[in-house]
Amino acid sequence: MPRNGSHTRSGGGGELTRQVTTSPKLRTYVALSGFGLLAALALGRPEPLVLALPFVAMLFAGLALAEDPTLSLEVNLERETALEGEEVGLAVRVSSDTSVEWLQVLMPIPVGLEAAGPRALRGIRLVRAEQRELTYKLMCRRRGAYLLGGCLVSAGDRFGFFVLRRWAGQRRMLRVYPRPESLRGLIKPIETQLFAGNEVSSRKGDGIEFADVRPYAAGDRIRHINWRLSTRLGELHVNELHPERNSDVVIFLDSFAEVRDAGQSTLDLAVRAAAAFAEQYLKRRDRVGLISFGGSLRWLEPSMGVVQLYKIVEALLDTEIVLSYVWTAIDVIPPHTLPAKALVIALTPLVDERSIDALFNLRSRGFDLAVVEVDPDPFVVPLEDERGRLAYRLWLLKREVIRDRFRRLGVPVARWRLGDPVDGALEGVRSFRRYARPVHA
Amino acid sequence: MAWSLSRSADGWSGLLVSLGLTALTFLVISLVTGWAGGIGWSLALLGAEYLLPVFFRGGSPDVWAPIVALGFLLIAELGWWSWELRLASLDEPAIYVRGALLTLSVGLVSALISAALLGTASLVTFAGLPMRVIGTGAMVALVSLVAVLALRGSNALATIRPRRPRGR
Repeated sequence: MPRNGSHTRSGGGGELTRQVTTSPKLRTYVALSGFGLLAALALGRPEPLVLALPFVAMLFAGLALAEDPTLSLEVNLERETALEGEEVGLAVRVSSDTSVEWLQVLMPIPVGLEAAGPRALRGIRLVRAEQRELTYKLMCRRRGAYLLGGCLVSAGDRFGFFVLRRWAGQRRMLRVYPRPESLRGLIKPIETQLFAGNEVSSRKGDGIEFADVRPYAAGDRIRHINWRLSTRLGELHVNELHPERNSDVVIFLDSFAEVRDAGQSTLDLAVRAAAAFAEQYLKRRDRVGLISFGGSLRWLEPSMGVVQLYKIVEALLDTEIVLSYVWTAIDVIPPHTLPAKALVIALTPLVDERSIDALFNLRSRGFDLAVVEVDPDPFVVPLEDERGRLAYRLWLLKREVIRDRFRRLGVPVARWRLGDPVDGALEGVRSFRRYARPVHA
Repeated sequence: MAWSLSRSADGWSGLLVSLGLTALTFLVISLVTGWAGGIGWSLALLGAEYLLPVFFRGGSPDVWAPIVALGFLLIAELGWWSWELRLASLDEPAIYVRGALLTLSVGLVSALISAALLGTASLVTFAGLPMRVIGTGAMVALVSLVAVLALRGSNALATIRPRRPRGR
C-alpha cells in the first residue's frame, strides 16, 4: 500500500565487487612444482625435475594464456507479470570480446519462485564475439514482487587456475499476482450509497426494480402510474421503485498471524479471495477499500475503477505477516478508510486476539460486517499424544465460541477451507444474512 | 600406478606399497569429502614412492620418468575434474573435450622436453658446487617467474559490465 512503499523480494546476494580467486588446483600445482624442483636439487637427480615438469608446463601455459575478457550481459524476462502457478521464461544473453573457456551464470531464485525444467546451472564456452543465450523457466509459486536478473557470473581460464566472480546484469521486476478465486455471487451490503451502481437499494426512488404501490401524490410522474391498479380501484396509484445504487466495500485482511504448511498459508488464501472480491465489486461500480490489519497497518481508501483494482492488487502483493506483540486496536485506522454504511468483509483465520477484538469493535460501531474465516484446520497437525489431542480439541472449542459470539451479534461467519471454492463460503454468509439482521453490541 | 611402482623395487616393496596405499587413501578421501588438498598430498606421496627406489638405486636416470610424469599429470587432472564435478555444475561437453585435448597436449610436450632433459643428463654429469648454484638459481628464477605470472594473471582478468538496454 502507498504508505509503506513496495517491498520486493530479491534473489540477489548483494553487490559483490569484481573478485578474482585462484583455484586450489593452482596452489597444488605450484606446490608440486616446487617440491619436484627442491627434490631434484636435494637428491641431485633429474627424475624429480622430470616429474615436476608437466606441472610447471601447465602453470606456464595457464598463466601465459590467461586473457582479459570483457563480458556483456543482458537479462530479459518473457513478461513482467504472471499469475501464481504460471511459468515465466527468462533469458540471459551473454557475449564477450575474447574467448572465455568456462563461463557460468548463476541466478539466485527468490523464495516464492522455483526453477522449472532442466537444471539452470550450466557452464558454457564462449568464443570471441559470440553471443549465447541461456534460458531458464521459472515457476511462480507465490504472489509477490520479485527482483530478478542479478546474476553471479563466474569466468574461468583454460586450465581452471583462476575464477573471476562478480554480480552483473540489470534487475528486472517480476510481479506475480494472486491466482483469482472464481466468484459467482457476492455479499450484498445492507445499506447502499448515493451514487448509481448495480446494487438494488432497499430504499425507494428512481430505478427499475419494483418496490411497492402507493396513492398518487402531486408531483409524481405520469409514467409511474400503475394504470391497471388505478382502473380497478378507481383512484390513481403509482409504482414505487428501488433505485440502483453503489455500495462501499472494505476488505479487512487480517495479517497479524497466519497458519501455514510448506506450500500454502491462510494469508495466501485470504489474499486470493481479497483480489477476487475487489475485482468483482469494482466491476459492479462499487467503491472498494482495503485494510491490512496486522503488525504493520496499511490501508487504501475506498474508490472505484480499474486504477483502484490495480492499487489493491499491488498492495496485496506485498502483504506479509509482520511479527508484532503490540496491541493494535481499531482506533488506529483512519476514519475515512471506513466510510459509514460500508460493508466490511473480514478475511481472517481467527487466530489472533487483536484482529478478533478489532472485528467486534467494528461491529459495535455499527458496521455491516461479514467474516470469511480462512479455516486454519487443514494446516494444523495435532500432536499424537493425549495432551496434544486435548489441546487441539480445546482450540477447536475456543474457535467455535468465537464464531458463536459473532453470530449472536448478527455477524455471519463463513468457514472457507483450503481446496473449496470461496463461493461455498459466501453462500453461507448470504443465507445467514437472509434471515439474520445485525444487532448492536 | 602405485602398485606398479612398488613392484619395481625389491626389498622396498612393503614401504612403497604403504606409501601407495596412503596416496590412494588421500585421493579417495579428497574425492569423497571434497578436500582439495588431498589430491596434492596424494601426488606427493606417489612421487615419493617413485623417487625413493630411484634415489637409493642410483646409476643412470630412469628412462621411464617422462611416462611416469605424464601419468602423474593425468592423475592430477582427472582428480581435479572429479573434484569439480562435486559442484552442482553442468558443463557443456565441448568444455570437457577441449580440456582433455589441452591437458594431453601439454603433457606430451612436457614429456618430450623431459626426454630431452634426461638425454642431456645421461651425457653430462650433474655434480659439484657450481652445478648446485646454477640449479638453485634456475629454481629461484622459475618460482619468481611463476609468481610474477600469477600476480599478473590475477590483476588482468575480466571486467564484466552489464549491457545497457536498447531503445530506452
